[in-house]
Amino acid sequence: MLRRASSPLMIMVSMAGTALLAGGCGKAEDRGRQLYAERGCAVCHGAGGRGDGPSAGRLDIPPRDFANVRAYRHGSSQHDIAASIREGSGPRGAMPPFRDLTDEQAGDIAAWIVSLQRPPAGGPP
Amino acid sequence: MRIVLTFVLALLSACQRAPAPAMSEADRPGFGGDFTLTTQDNQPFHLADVRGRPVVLFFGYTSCPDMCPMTMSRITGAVARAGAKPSDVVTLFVSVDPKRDTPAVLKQYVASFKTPPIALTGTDEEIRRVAAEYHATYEIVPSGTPNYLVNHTTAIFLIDRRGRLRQYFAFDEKPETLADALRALLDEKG
Repeated sequence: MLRRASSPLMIMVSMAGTALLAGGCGKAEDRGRQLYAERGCAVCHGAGGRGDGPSAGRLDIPPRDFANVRAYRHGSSQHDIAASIREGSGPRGAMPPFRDLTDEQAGDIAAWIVSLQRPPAGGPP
Repeated sequence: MRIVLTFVLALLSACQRAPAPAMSEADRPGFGGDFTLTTQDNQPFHLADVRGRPVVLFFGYTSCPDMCPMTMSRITGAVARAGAKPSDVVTLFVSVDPKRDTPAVLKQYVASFKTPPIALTGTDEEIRRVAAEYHATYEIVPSGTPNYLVNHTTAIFLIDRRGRLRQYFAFDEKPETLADALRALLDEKG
């Protein structure tokens, strides 16, 4: 006789396991903020993601202010940002590809970046 | 042999993206060694100062738009993946752009990392001497603008607790391979 596997306890255990497999404990944006700090993203993008890192002024293509959703060149969704992190965002001089990061890590950093976005002044374009 | 090593490292220069296999033959006289440069705090630094801890050494510059940020991310990821406490491993960032990378600039640079590397600079002659010890090269790309690029060797060098160069890797080496090599150095006795 088959046993039901969908008791509330089993569902909770399953959800917890899925969350752990998806990249550890905590919220994605918290993990992303941590990774952003560890990996030195602030060198170009600034500690707060304003595009004002210490090296930003010496780049031909300066980093954008993550708060400004109109400034993103390759989309401002979490998915788009994660893709830019993993694959880079253009020609030499623009954001290079960070393929050492897993898709999950890139997604976590992207989640944190999305949390920095602010509605554009004057409403939607 | 020196010519062969120089050739291999030249292939790991910033213009090349071809992955290279991990090298294990760096442990020989005449390759690597002690050196003295100046830290971001404008203090003298000798490699011997960090004897007792494994060292990850990278030649780069703070204005680098691609190889250096990618490689520093890879190094910090490998240290974490190796299960090392940040204080267990020393990461050295040797600037190949001493004209722009003054100690003050380097101080701002390292502050952008949660676990700051030690950033080093010096005169062009001092840096060329250190680069030569590690068969590394660098060259400014003339552009006529202040935002010039510097082509440079992008290899990641691993130095053991006794200050001996043990291995070097391509900048795009798999993080797990780098972490394994680092873990092996951490497991060694001083």
